[in-house]
Amino acid sequence: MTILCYTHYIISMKKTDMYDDVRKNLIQELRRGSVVIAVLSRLSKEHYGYTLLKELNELGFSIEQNTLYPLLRRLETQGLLSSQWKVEDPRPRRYYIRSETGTEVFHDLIKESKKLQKILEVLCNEK
Amino acid sequence: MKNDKNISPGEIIKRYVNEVGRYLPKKDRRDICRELYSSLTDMLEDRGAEDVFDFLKEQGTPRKKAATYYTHQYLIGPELFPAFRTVTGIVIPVIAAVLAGTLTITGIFSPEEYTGTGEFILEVFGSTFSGTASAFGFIVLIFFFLQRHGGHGEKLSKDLETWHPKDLLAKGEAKEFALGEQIVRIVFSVFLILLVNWHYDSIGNIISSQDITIIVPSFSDSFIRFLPAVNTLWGLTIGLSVVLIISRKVNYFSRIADYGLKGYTIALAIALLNIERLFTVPALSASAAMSAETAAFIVAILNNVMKGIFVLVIVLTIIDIVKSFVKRGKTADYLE
Repeated sequence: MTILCYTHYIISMKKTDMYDDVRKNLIQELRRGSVVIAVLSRLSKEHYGYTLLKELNELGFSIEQNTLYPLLRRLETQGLLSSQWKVEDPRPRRYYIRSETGTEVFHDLIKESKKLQKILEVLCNEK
Repeated sequence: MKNDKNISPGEIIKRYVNEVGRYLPKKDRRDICRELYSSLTDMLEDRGAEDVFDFLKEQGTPRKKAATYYTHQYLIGPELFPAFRTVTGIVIPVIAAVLAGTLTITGIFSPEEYTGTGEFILEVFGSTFSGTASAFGFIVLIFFFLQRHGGHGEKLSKDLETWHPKDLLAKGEAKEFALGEQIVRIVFSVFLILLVNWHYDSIGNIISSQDITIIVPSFSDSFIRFLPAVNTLWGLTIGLSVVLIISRKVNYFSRIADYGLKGYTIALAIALLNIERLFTVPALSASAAMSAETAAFIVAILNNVMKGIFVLVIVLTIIDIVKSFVKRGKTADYLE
């Protein structure tokens, strides 16, 4: 009986771990879709990587450095951002700002996001 | 940290960033490194009195850090690409040269096989190209397998277990272990074992097929007596490389073993140089495509070429020993 209970306990623990992983991955995927909007939203003003990182985290949008910096480079390659090095104390920093195209895309994304949000609300409240 | 206990956090970050730079694409390397240095320094300053080593540990291995800048799926990732480039850069030209050389020699001594010079040239280029393409495909497959099943090189390299910021090198310091170099050693040793042993067993006689006769000189008895010693050298080379790949560290014993192998290589090459005839003229049949004099002439050329190779091996091994004392693979500074 003890063995049976223990086996059941182990299986249920493994299931919980598995569901935890699945849930984490799904949340991560959901957030991934909104990272670009979050980053573009802050870059109407010039920011260098670290201040942007801090600002996003302070506003509750947690993002890692390993995600942000490569994303900034990708958005710049896509023409949504522009950047320039500024020599200031104590070291040179690369400042990013939204380009015209970036602003257009940002507004489009916001529209789409709102539309999606409305649809999701309807879908989730449907009985 | 190498030879310096009072090193500044800025310098340690600089070393980390330079190590990351080694795994980044050349095009964006300097730019990414500058930005990374700037942001890591900002972050460390912002955190106050945090230990720089703990901070860098938290950042992850330089390879892993560099990998975050690659957003695409790839056949061979940044962790394995330097090794892949080294292996292909050496293996492909060698295979191309061996194939082209073999086909040219065969064509010269059995021109009946071709209807004209055009066909001969086409055959040499075509076969060399298809052979090297196959070899390239084979190497890609091996690395693809390592990429998919080797845990992006991390399980293979045990990077996560062994990496520590204290191991980071300053500009001009040398890396002691190179995965690509060890893979090249294994590939070459296996290739040579197969080539020489196969050559010894299967070739060395007149190969006749209908009216076509090809004469391939065989190794002399004096050379064959050395074959176990030569195979031992290649076997030990493979063994040492496998040990280095598994342990991912050059320690005192592996370094001594490496010098021992190099010494053995030089001694063996000198012994082989003293053999008067490395090849013998095979018995010629009545249907032979060339005279005994021509065959003897070819054998003499082959003897000299082989001895030239032995001299080259001796010189290169000595250079290798000297280089290992002077330090190799010096670290670059991408922030300059």
